[in-house]
Amino acid sequence: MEKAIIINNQTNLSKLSKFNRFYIGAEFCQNLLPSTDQIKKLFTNLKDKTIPISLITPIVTDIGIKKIDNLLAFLTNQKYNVDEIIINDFGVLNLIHRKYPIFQPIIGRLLSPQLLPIEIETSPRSIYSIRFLEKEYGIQRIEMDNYNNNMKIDVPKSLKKIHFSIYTPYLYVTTTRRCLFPHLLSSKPKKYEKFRCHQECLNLKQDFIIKYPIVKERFYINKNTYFIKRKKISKNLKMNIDRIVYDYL
Amino acid sequence: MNITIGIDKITDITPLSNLGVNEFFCGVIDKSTNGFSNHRPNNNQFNLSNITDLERAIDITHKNKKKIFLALNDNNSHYQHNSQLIKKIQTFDQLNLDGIIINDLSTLVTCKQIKVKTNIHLSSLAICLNSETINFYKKLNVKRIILPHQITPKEYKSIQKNISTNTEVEIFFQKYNACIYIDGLCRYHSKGPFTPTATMPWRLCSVIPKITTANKSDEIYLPKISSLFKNHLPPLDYFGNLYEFNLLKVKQIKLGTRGYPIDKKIEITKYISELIELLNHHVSKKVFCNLAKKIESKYKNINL
Repeated sequence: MEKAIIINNQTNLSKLSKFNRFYIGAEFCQNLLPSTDQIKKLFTNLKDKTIPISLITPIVTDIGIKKIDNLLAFLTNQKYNVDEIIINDFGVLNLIHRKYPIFQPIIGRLLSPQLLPIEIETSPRSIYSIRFLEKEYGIQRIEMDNYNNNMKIDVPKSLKKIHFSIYTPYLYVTTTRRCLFPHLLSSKPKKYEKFRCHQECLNLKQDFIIKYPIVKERFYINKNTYFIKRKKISKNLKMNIDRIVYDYL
Repeated sequence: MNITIGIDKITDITPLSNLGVNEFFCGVIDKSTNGFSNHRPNNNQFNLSNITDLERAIDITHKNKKKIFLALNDNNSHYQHNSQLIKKIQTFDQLNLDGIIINDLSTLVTCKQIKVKTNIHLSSLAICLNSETINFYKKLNVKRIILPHQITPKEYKSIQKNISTNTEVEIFFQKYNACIYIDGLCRYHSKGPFTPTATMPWRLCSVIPKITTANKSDEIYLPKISSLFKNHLPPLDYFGNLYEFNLLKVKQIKLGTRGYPIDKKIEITKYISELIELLNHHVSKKVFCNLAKKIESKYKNINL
């Protein structure tokens, strides 16, 4: 089983020996995509330069597409060990397919519910969409959330070549483009369009917890995204799960 | 700019047509699921009751020389076998619909494989925020892109330069359908990954939560963050954005009014029609926004 971890410049890199893949980038916000300088710094600080690295990307506007385009151009020309791009926007998949076939695209956990309905036992109908992505875009891996302790998925034999990753311990619930944090640090109310992100979310400890009176679980706010904590992985997943992605907030 | 409005009853069509609405969209109750069928609860508050009603709705709409689209914008995950999904799509394709609204890749790929004849509109739930995404979906025969609720005119302007000119575009009127969360990526609705301990509303975000923090230094933010959850975030500049989208030649404005009484739909239609009329006078943005506020103040029953 491959063990991957999402890291950034704040991560203590000395405690990562049990992981055999690193994820860098931003999963939920294009404003948090690293610059080339930040990536250079991160690579400089890595002890093990041979460890494979995936660039994780969020849903993006054209500005985000341009940022990712620049990052991929940079990573193509560098001798870093980046071999995969995690896609959470089909536009990024289109970009990689057009310009950067050197990288292996992976379907991220925000897109995978369209391919793997998680509420039912089996879904042969998904074959068509996964085959489409496999044939047209070279998709070989799909990532998914640890959606339900009792989740049952039985992937058909014809898709046995597809690999799957599962994220733990945080399960994605929702995300926003109207982030709380600029509002928290602003003294006057403003219209949405007037706010500019200054990465305020990075300046707070962010241990905010949401508790709804009618829901058992607590929700954790991390930057522009809310999560539930769920460590136990269902034993009813008849699919080729060969990677766990640790998404410590 | 023209209005596309959500309906849930056949009787909605004629009065709204008479007010100048030129496009309708609707859902139909799906007996194969107890959950959602088109991003709304699967009941007759939000949907037409059956296919017969849909056929009648198509007939009435076309007699009024208007268009009607069917919303199939859920991920159709309750279809355990693709043959069921194909049968469902083929049934609708044989009707005289002007188009179907789809969001998930599985349904789009299936439509391409069985070569549906009707037009395909890409739901806002597919979240096209950039031109690469639109070009990805265009390969799946999508004719119209319904832009996500929160897209800004500036973001659309950038997209517009990089997509083919035959791409139809539709926007939401942001006074109504601008949820804080990214619709399409949001699992805050009643089939979310959490465990309800009481009867759930269909969207959990309508419930006010308690916010706490484990970190003392963040406690100063608790009153503000709690008030943001109560009042939601500051509104979008929906008049200014409408003005800008009109300058960018967006032709359709969508009103997600399924589930509301006809009186409210009529009031909202009159209100939006007045705004469109004002846009047609080509006044400056500042003048438009000021006059739009005055128009809005005349209507008492337009909040959803």
